[in-house]
Amino acid sequence: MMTVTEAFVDSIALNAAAAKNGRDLVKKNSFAELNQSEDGRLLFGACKGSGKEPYRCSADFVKPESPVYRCSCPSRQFPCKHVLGLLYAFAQGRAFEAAAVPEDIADKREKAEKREEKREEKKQAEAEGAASGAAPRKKTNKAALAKKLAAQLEGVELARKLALQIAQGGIASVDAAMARLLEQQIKQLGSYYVPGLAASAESLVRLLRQTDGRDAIYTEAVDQLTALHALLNRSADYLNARLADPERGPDAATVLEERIGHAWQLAELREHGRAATDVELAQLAFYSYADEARGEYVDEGFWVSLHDGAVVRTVTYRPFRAAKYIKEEDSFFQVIAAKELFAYPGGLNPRVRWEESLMRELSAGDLGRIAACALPAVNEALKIVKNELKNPLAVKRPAMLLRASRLTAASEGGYALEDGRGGRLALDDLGGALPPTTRLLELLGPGQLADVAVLVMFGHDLDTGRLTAQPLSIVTEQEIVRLAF
Amino acid sequence: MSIAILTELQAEVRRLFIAGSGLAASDPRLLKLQPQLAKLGESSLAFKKLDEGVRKTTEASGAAAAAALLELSGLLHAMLYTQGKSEPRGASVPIDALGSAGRTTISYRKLAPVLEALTSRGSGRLQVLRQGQKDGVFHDFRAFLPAVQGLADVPEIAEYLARKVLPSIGARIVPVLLRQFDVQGGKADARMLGVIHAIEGEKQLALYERAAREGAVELQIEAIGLLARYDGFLPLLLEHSQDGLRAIRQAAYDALALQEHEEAAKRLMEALPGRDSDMVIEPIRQSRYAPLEQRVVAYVRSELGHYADAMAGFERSKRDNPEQPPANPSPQMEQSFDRLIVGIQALKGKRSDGALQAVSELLGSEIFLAGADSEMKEYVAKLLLDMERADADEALLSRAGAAYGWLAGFHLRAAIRHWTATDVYDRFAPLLAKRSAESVSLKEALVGLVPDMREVLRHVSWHKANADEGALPAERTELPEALSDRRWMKRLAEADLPWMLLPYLLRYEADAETLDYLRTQLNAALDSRKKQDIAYTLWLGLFIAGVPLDAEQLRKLVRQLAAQYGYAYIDPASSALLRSLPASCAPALEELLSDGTVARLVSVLEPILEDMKRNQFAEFPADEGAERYAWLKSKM
Repeated sequence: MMTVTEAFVDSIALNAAAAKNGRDLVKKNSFAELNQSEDGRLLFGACKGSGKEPYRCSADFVKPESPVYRCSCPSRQFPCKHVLGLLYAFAQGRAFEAAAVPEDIADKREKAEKREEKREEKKQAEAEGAASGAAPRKKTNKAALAKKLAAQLEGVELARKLALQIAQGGIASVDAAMARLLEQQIKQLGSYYVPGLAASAESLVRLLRQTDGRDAIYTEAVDQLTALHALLNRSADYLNARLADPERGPDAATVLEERIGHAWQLAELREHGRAATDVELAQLAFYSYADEARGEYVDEGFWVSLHDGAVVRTVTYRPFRAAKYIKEEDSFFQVIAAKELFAYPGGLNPRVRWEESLMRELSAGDLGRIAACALPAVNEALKIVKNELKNPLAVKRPAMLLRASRLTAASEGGYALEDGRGGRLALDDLGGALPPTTRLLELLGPGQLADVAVLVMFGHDLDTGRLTAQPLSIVTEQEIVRLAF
Repeated sequence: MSIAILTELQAEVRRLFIAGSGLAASDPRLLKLQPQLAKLGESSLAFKKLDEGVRKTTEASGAAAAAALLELSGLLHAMLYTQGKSEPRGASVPIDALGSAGRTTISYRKLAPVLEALTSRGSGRLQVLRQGQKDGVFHDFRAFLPAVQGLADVPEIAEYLARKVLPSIGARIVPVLLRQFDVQGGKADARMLGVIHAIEGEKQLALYERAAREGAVELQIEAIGLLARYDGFLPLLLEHSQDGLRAIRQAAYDALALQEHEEAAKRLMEALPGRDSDMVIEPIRQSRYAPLEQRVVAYVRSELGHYADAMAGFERSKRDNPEQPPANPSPQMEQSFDRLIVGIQALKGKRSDGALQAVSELLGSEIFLAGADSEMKEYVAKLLLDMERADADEALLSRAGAAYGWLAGFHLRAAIRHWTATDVYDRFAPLLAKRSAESVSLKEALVGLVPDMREVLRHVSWHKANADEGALPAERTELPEALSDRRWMKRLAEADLPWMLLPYLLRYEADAETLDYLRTQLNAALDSRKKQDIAYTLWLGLFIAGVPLDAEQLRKLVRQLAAQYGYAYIDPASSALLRSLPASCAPALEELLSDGTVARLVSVLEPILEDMKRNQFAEFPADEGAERYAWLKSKM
């Protein structure tokens, strides 16, 4: 049985309110029964609710890497506060009586087992089929695919028209009425299977709608418009190529598919060799922001793979409308051991996901491994970053883990990272959803300012021509000092 | 690579994007750049492409120009992104590290709302900060700087940070505060000083002294307040008490009052009669320094003497110049009286023998009493009463006679501390009936002494009706023992003070005379539309006395209740009384319900009627005193 700590329960709660509600149930002694199976792998209990009958909730750790939570309450939040309360009660050391596994749960376990067996059988059959040369998966309907690609191409053209229209008239001429018109056109893109392109266009129009400080947004708008145009060009080339060659699969090497609007399924990623097994990750930074153009909250975590030192991102989208029912991600202080880690195509910091995982405390050894992964030379890092940034499809704020022999102030303002090999990098705040962090350097101790690894996020300001790095976290031999979140 | 030309080209491209590619054809500024690009293009493929891009853009028209501009911009941006300048501004300078960071284990979900609350505007932020404080967020060094900057926020938030949050962080925040601190700053820096003091105490005395000497006004004020708690700053405080700014003088006076030093006392007394009198009165009152109190006493006595002299001088000159009488009051009189008054005000809270003597002298001074208005006279009487000394009470009671009618209420309040109920009654009750200054003063005193059962029961009934979970406010329900002579009932009825009767009715069996008074007055009140409150009081009196309403009274009462509100509602206190009437009253209410005159209240009265029918007693329980109150409370 895995150790259930309060931090673990916090981490599975959808949001802070859910965690608090769960805790309150324990505080108010709402649990009429707290039970534990003989083997300790099942926790179950009965909790007073607003209904006549108490709610029966349980947490099943038969598979510790993917625990199953069940509750008879009607809440759409999952896990609900009753399950959280049950786990908090356990973590806080409340007495759990030993009891036999309830029949309904035994039934459900059995069914799940059967499902699992079937899945395994299917996997095996597929593997055997692949070995024997048979088609490994069901064939996509070629006619349907062609139809979709054609529609997408139409969408691209529609979007291109919009981009040209803005460029031709001038971005200064986009007033409220014009913006409304453009938004209507973007809405039409909805029927062409190109949600990614629509989001890029929407983001641009939103920027242009800003009425105050317009002069300040022009450079950003020009950049977005330029990038949109490049995205449309590449999309058109790519879609045409696929249309011409029906055998050609989706582009699993770059971010293009995702930018057009494809949502990669885990199975697809596995199929394209983008899954790695048993990878450990440590989070270095986390933040969250509202992406108004997409209508979603975006929770973004930066992690370092203890496996190969790559800095990867987790991105969770929580659409505004459903935000309450989707887990709010948060800063994470333990090490995640992902059974299977999926990496999305493209980018310096590829987006990753995992389904099943265990967690453990961060050790001094881990810190050493993280520090060892840091890039030793500023120049080398800059080369990589600049190469990344010149790609119009790239994420505009890549992150890298750099080795710093010393963090200093700069005599004419701002701060600097020195790599000890003559390389120096300006440190400054990037703004946006990140809080200012450079001023925190003054609050650190001498041991946190020399011979450390620093996670920095880069940003290029086209107006000033400066490529700035904002420090997000500092990894020392003893700890990870988070400057952002 | 030539960055200058790229930047120039970027500016032109940006301009065309803003104005529209429609203007790009033969754009002179773009064309001007072309030769240079062409030349660079000879050796670099990238510049060659840029040159071509510029050419296409300036030659095309319509949508083609837009496409060309976008292409050009795409190329240009890709190049610009590889040219980012990343060198620090200037040479490296070691960071003067404060070493304030601890472990950063507070998560985004806890930290971000706090940072947001500290760096934004709007309502609801204090609550976020309180939660943050509960969660320990402020011990994370990432919250330090925003919390310190929050000292300049709206007062509500700034004060919370200054009093609760920042001191709770302790020594780790001090270096941060010291680095941010600006002795010439504003309110925020003054608060910083307070926080530093809360954490470091006298360790930072030099800092407070510097702020008191050189700081901006707000810092001086704060620092003076801090220095007041320490020895050795008397000269500085004395100096500040002569400052040109009123606010600084006020801070200095407050500080001097804490000093317990002869020089400080002297300075405060010096300021008392002057333009700063309103500023020093309170500090003098608050001071616990006995020699200062002696000085105030001496001052009052001497000013009383001066006033008497001025008065005599006035009388003399009136006598000497009967044709041209001097102005009344003379400037000398006015001046010395004003000086006397501030001295008297400064005596508040003083309890020494000297103070007692001075105040009782004032109360015996005909000259003072003739000059003072009633408010001032009562102020002086209250000084004696508030000393809570037996000899002070005695001194108060010894002032009797025709000139002291206004003092009757004070006499009563002094007397009930020492006398028996019988003696109190014998001395004061006869005064109540007279139309005189004595009866007015006495009634005023009684209002403060006799518990108001109407209010008490109203609160109890509201509390019950609204199932309020909060605690009931503690209210007096007991008569002071010295007022418990039952003969007061008769006197209070004669003086028509029905609500004062209520605690007596709870304590004693009512006599026929009192009951008669209650009944008569109730009937009169029920006939008037405007006397609902009085009717309720009288009804409550009868209820306590165990006398049920007769059918006629009940009818009138219910009608009066029906007229009170425009909808189906009876206040909880009245409805509790109705519900507790004996079953013998039920038929009258039933009849009233059926005749339709109070149709509006039927829904409210029906359950009351049911309860009333269930009351098995024909009369009320006849317990007395505490039991009767408990019973009454249970009925609410």
